[in-house]
Amino acid sequence: MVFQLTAPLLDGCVLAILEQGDAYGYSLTQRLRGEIDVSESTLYPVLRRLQRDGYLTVYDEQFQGRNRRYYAITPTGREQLAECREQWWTYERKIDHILSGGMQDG
Amino acid sequence: MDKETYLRFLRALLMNRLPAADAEDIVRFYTEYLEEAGPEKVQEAMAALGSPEELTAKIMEQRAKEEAEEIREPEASASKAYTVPIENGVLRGAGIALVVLAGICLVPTLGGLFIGFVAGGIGLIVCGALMVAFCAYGAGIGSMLLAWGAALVMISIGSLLIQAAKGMFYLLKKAMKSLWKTLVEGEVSVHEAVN
Repeated sequence: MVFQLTAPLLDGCVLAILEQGDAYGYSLTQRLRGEIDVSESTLYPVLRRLQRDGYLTVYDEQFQGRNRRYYAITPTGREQLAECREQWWTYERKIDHILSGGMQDG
Repeated sequence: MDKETYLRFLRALLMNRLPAADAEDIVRFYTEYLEEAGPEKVQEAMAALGSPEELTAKIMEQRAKEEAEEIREPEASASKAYTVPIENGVLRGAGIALVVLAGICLVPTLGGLFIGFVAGGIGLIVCGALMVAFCAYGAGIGSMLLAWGAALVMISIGSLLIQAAKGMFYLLKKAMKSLWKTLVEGEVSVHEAVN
């Protein structure tokens, strides 16, 4: 992909996936990578930041004898996601407007 | 390199650079990550993460970037301006009405000034030209030159007035155009505080 994914947008994408249901690190990364080209090492800092800002919480669950750390979106996280969607759609509409040749000179 | 060696290297590298709790947390994340990848995909996953050294470098770089952002953040997020397109029909109607109103006020005012300036300018130029012509029949050469000088000054001021009138015309055009753009088809600037 030629377009760079910025940190706030990546945060939004992660929160959107978690809105669908809790997920653990590996599955989250795989799901994200199924759609966009992000590096495997990108996700840890994103999750840490989102957790620190109170947008998600973690809990551990046993799975086949090992530990799985699940990430869950918080109410604040949902608010943040709504804000991110709003911002993105505004931005998207403007870029669409320019790309589709809707700009007039002057 | 097997998974255990990979993680041991990673832990050693991170322990040298970060507080122990942070290092442990990161190692914990990647341990789980490689376990989840399963035996068949673990090599692929390690290759994608890069060598322990490369992964450590990426982690450190990421942290440095985040710390730099945190220092900048309060200033950057205090207030931001963005524009929203006017889509509301009522707003659009009000915009057109305002532009027409502005036109009604601006056009006669600036138009009157425009006519005044042009007329004054032409008057001065004609006056100057007449002085040049008639003073040719005057008495001494000294007073003739004096009269010509005065005439030239009048012609110059006349030209300046006409130029000013032209400028005013453009000003009016520009003002109306930008009013139209802002109020009717354009975008308004909105300032919104961001917490």
